[in-house]
Amino acid sequence: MELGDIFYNKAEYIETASGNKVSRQSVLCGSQNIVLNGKTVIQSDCIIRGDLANVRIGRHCVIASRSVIRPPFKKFSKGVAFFPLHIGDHVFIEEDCVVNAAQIGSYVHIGRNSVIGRRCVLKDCSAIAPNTVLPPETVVPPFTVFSGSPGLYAGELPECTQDLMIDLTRNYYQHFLPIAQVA
Amino acid sequence: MFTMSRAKGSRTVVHPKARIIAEGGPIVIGESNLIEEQVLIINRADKTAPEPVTMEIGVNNVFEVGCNCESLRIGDNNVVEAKARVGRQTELSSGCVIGSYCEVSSKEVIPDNTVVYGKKCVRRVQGERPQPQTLQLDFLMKILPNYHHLRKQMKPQTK
Amino acid sequence: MESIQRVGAAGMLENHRVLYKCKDYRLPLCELYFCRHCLKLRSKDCVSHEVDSHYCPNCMENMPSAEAKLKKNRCANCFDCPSCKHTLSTRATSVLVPSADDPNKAVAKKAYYLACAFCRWTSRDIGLKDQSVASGGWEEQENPNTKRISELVEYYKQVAQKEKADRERKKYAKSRIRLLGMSGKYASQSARRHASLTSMQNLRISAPDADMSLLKEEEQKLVKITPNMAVEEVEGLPEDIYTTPINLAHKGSAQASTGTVTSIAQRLSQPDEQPTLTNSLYPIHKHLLVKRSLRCKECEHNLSKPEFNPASIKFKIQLVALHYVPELRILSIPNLYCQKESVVLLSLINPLEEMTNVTLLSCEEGDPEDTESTAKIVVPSQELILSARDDAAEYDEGDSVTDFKDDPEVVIFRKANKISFVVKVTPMKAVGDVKIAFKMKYNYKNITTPLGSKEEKETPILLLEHHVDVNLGQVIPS
Repeated sequence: MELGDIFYNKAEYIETASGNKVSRQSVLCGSQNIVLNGKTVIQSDCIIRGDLANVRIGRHCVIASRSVIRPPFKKFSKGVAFFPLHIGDHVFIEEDCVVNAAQIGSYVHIGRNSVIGRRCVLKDCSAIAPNTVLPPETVVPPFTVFSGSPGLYAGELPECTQDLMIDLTRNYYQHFLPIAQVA
Repeated sequence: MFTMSRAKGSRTVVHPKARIIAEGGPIVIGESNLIEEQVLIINRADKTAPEPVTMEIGVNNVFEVGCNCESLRIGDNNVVEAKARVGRQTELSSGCVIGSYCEVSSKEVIPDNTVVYGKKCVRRVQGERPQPQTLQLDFLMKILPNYHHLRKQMKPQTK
Repeated sequence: MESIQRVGAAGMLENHRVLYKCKDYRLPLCELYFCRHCLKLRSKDCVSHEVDSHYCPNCMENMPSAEAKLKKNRCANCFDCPSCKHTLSTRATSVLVPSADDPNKAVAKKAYYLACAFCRWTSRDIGLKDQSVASGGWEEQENPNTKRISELVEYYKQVAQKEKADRERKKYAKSRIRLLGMSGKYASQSARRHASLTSMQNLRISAPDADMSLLKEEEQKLVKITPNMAVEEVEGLPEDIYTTPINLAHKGSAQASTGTVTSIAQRLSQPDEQPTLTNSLYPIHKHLLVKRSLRCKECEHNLSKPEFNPASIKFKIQLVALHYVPELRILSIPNLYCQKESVVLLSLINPLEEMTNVTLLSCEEGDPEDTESTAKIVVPSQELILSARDDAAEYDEGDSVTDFKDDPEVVIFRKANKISFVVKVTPMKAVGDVKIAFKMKYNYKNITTPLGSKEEKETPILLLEHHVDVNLGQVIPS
């Protein structure tokens, strides 16, 4: 099934020079620490906490509405530090997710309403089913699907996941059109 | 956004986009609490109760991202994890952990050191107490003031 | 398998609606492989799976297959929480310990314990002492039945060996003269057939003489073991089983020392001991995952071979159908009414680096492959020409150079290697899903010969055909 056109109100979104489309209703704290590598879509009501630590998001990512992206913290003997959060390219994060992960690889799909615990590591080409709770410090290996609460290994992804995710995120970006243009 | 009266102790950190709504009465929040984003702490207006009822929250509690808390009495050292919901009739004593996604709304007092977790969330475990988040609170209080635009949205609380 | 299709990119693109038929199954294109030598689609069940390497999903460490077999496919360092199956993490605390030099002074030493971040179970709950080493210090639980099981296994190995030797001896006795020179070859063939028990003994029956002597040795070695005796009298249940209240409160009670009853899932995850009380639930070693390579059953060529590194997503060989077969996608579906002809838009994407001509043919009456369709379809009569896939075209802003004379009633949209076209569908059934089936024919250039050879100009262009089922959704009741 091809993705249909998704329209947004042109006034509500900021389009940057490198093609990022960021909603004005999202809260991007500490925006100087947030790096969006290009052609990323950030929908409304998201919260990205760049004030706690650096957040770097790759190209062609999609972060759907009401998701929260915050860097995790780690307790050391000498205190606490917030770790920078790296999200790879072509990552699709659906609505209402809470992401506290330490690292998200490329070509990852996170289903809606999931909670990714602190310091989790999601390797490339993995998927998280909707409504999953990944407890802290889980490692999700490539080509696996985790689901349930606690998130446990639930299945495998086909080898062509990388192509599917590239297709999905690229098409999503191309179909994400401002209304002022079409009207 | 806050409405009506409420008192908040020192060393409590409230993250942006948290909502503390005192409709049915004042909310008293103790010291050293950590209230993260999208948290909704609400003292609902109860039409049956004639007087406003105070909602009391103790010290050293952690409310993680997106949780919903309507309980009238919360003790100390509790952790309410991401997307959890605590109903109005429930009361948390101390050292409790309400796991992610769990909904506890039965009319009871949850005993000390209980852990509610899992899909069916009727699971309870007695374990060790969750550690107080003093280290994290100190860190946050140092760096959050660097980003002035956060503080404009709510009252300064660290002074 | 069904639910996984709804997850990930395949779920969002609803790939399960368009099914291609391989030998026995109908699957979406993303789950199929294309064998370049047989020129057929293969599914996960039409290929043989071979294990490439074992790795732990937590520490992502590779483990050689021999070691994995010895450790029962479990990781040595990583543990699972016995109560919720999540991975355990090692936490450290400082303990004041009187130092060796001066018994009066207390020195802070690090003690490590295992804790679950999800249900807050710790290794202290079952009384395991904190370790002084960060990893590897955890003692293993002894299985009380190990001794008996290993005795039995040894005995059966010897019995199997003896039986095999008996059989070999009979064969040799019949045709000893004829096969005197070929006995070596004979032995290796039969050894392959009796796999586990006897092969472990590394049997080498190369000459009939050696065979006889081995038999005598075995007769001496055959240990008499006491067979299991069936007992009539079973130990009775304890008297207080009816009177003591069972603590079912799922590990929630003040008496942590006595523990509570374990759940079935917790009990069965440790089949060795199957503890009934939670205070004897040991942490479980984490199960290993596998990297596998796939091989076509008919031509024995590899279809998919991943890299050795568990964290890498690259492939040494990757013959997925998505790279070789034109992909059909549903573009838009109008409301479908029974017995009314509606216009459905489909799109085709060409993954090959050559131009292809795709022809669609509707299935004939009585086609044995056409079992699912519930609607009639009128396909475009002419060929659909798809241009080659060009990765660099993404960055090229200009229009495509070649101008295909497209019939505007058939071809709606064309961009690079993608084309959308019109199909007319008439649902035949009043209730249920509307499914259409048709055959797709396209040109395929068979590039199995290496480039630069003299056959380069003669690579044959073949016409391949696949059967496609498309599920368009529910019929609207009229």
